Amino acid sequence: MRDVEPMTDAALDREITDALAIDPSPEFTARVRQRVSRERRSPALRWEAFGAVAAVAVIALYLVGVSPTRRASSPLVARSISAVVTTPRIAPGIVLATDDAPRSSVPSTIDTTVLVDEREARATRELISGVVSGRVDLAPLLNTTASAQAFLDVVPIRESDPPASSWSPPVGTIETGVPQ
Amino acid sequence: MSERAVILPDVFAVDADLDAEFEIRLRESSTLAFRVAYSVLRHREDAEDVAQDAFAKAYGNFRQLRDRDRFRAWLVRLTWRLALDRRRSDLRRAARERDGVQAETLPAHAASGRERAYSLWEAIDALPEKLRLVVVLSGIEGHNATEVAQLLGVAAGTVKSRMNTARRRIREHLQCAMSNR
Repeated sequence: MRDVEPMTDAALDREITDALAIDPSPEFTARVRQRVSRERRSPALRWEAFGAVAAVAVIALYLVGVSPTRRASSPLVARSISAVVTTPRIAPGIVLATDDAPRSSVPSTIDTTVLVDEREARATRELISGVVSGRVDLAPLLNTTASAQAFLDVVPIRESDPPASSWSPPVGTIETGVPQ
Repeated sequence: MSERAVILPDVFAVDADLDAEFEIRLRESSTLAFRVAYSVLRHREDAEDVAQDAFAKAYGNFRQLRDRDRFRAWLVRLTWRLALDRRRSDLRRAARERDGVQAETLPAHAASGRERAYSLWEAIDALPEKLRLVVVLSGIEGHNATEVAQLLGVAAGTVKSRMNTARRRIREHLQCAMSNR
């Protein structure tokens, strides 16, 4: 038979007090002190970490985005001349990069230096020098398509040049590239 | 340079005073915070963790506490909230509570008293939060109604009224539990 008689207030309070009379472990206060000391140090550490991160960010910005010398020293990338700038066609299949090329469509934020692949530049220089010296006669090329193809043979691309596989496919729009 | 040399010692002096004062509060209130957490969690390690968290938060905001005499009340509320959050977030709490009651709450009682203590905790847990906090704080460190009122920031009469209501409900719960066994 269980005792179900009502408890007095004092008995109930005593029972509650006994139930709550649990002490923390002996190391508890020491652990709290450790934790608080960590909290004490953390603001200073946060400022130090913030300063370090800011310094790294500034250096990274300078190296990656700001320094023009770093950008100039990046490796050359071969691009088709037609992908670099639109130039007036002299004959089918021949394009020249000139300062007269229209630039109105080039955004002002883009470096507008005209880039010409080394082989094409060499071929162009040889063409110009040939025309100036009289070695090359352009008159027949202006009349017939077949003779234009023959003209291409006047300034062949040498075998010592880099393989064509290193070329990017032309995209048909004005782009920026590596200044020469 | 001279300005820095003059200012920095003053700042450190203020911090040292603050730390010394907090150390006094810590010594006074560490058991209180632990027991408040324990009354919610019923698990010693968890209660210690929560009490540590509470002291860490309290330290972080100690400088902003205008009335330092309210520290214990502030700490009690902080610990209570953290313990409730911990309890809610731990889905395994129920099983551990049962183990904890049997293993830890009743070291002073005989084995025959375990069921009784378990029923007591059930009755306390069933109380609304306002009543439960009054019961717990009254049962910790022999706080009287005035001290509990100070900790809770309410009138002493409110504490007495809540305590009476809580006692009645606990008594009913215990009688019901014992008569069913």
